[in-house]
Amino acid sequence: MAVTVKGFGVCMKSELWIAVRSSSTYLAILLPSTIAVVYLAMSRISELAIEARKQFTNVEIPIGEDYSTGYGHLVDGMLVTLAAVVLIVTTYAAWSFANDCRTGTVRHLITRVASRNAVILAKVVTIHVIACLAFVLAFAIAYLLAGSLWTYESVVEDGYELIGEMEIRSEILYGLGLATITIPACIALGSLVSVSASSPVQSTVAILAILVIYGFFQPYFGSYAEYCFLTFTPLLFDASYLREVSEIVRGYSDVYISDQTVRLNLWIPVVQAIGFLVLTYFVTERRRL
Amino acid sequence: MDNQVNQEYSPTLSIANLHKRYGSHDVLNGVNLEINSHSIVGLVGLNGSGKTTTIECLLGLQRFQQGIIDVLGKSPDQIFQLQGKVGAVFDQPCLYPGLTVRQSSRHTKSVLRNVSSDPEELEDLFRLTRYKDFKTRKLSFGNKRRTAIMQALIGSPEFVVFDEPFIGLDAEGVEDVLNIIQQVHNDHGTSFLLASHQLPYLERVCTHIAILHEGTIALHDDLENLLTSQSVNVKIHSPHCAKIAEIAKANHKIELKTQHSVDSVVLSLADMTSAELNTLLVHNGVSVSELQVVRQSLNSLFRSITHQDLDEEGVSWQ
Repeated sequence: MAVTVKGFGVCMKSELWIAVRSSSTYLAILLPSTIAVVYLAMSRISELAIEARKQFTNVEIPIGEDYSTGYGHLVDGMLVTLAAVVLIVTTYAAWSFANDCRTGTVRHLITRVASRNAVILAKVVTIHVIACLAFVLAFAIAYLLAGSLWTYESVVEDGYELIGEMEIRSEILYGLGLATITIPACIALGSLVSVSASSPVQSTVAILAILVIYGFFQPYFGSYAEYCFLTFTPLLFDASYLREVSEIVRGYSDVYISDQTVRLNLWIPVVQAIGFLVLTYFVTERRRL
Repeated sequence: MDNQVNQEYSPTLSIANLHKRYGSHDVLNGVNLEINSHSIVGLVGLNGSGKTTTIECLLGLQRFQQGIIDVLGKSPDQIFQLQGKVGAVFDQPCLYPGLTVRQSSRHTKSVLRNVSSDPEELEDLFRLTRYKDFKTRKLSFGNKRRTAIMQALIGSPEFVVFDEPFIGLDAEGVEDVLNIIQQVHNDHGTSFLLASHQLPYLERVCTHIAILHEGTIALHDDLENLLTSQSVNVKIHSPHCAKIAEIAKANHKIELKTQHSVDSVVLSLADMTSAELNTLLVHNGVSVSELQVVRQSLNSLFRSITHQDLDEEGVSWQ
């Protein structure tokens, strides 16, 4: 069966036309940035509170030695923010098509301007655009805020540079790359759930259940967990490489990631994203709309 | 029927041997229906007879097990290639809840090619101008339906499918919709398929009627033919009703339907006009004070096919 996506351009126009007039789009884009701001602000307030308490009571508080520079807080902020981005766009993907089916609006496009697959592909692309905007905005805000609340500098202990700024930056970019490469697979999974569900409530509950249940049971899968893209995704139960980067940029040298894990992190999300999209195509072709 | 489209005679819609099954339940069992251009066809049937399923199949919203559907030369899964020549209004208003009425019509205009009509004009036509800045989710059901119908007519479609177009509309709304259907049909030659229970409304606008019963089209013809080809009912006021009953009994062309009172009877005539009946009665010495031809209604025709007493179902059958 030939894959037809005729009318994709019109569908994109329609999706973007609706998206810029939808409050849920703005919520999806702005919420991760808000979370980043709140997280970094609370981290700073917490630090200031500890310092103030130390000055007033002259008592050392055993909170552990921390070599956090701005980079450490930036990575921590991005861990939380990326988890928010992933959760939001995955849930949005799961809700979106199912909701269009419930309201019946998808029928107008299918009867007048586009094929079924063009509609779903346009939706997937639009959600990627939203995810990109949410991520870029959140990263820019977190970068500026972390830079203004702390200082971006290399980690130095007893006059010895544990890790230089260049290396920190490259590790952060590498960690972010490995984490964000899983987002298309998340969106594709959300879309598959969306086209398979009979209502938006069902699809939203189903995708959240999948994410939470996988998080609970992931430790039991052992090394097999590396064959699921969710293992590399920053989520509530995070096992992504970005978590390790958070340690590296604080000067911890005992962080290790195997080449095989990196290879799987690079390939598994891509392969599984394609698999989910193919399944989405078949379900969309057959279901009642 | 093959998929080739005859250029000289191309029907707007052609459905051949359509079968649709939900699990083990056959809903459509060989539906055949043809709609020519410049016609308004009423698709009527009991609840669950498959009207909505037929519409969803022909619009490519549902897959079917067997049959061939041709809409303006396209199969249902290619219907979008007609670029808005087919419009549809479904039993629920399919609107983006976060858009206003004006935005809804602009959105439709933005995705269709070569739309010359102005959304403002249509809003005016549908009496929606004062709601133009209302989000569609805040509209009453009737106004949502008006908005949905307005959207379907943007782009001057050649064929419009309505599933229960009158649900949720007040008397004024029904009147507006009927007038607009008639106006669009007259001005642009648009064909309509109206699936509805509201037989009196269909009777007002439809040129053809198709009755869907037990998974097939039990009857499909020109409305005028349908109503006139059936037996003619005649109501007679006369002091000699007993004698009229005797004449009816003796003549196979006349059937006594009901006797309302001692001076009023209803006769059903087959192959006989009311004038011939009058002559026959006069020849038999029966004086008639009033002879009234009772026009066959779509309702009674529908009942005679579906064998259902639908009068109890409410005002829509009146």
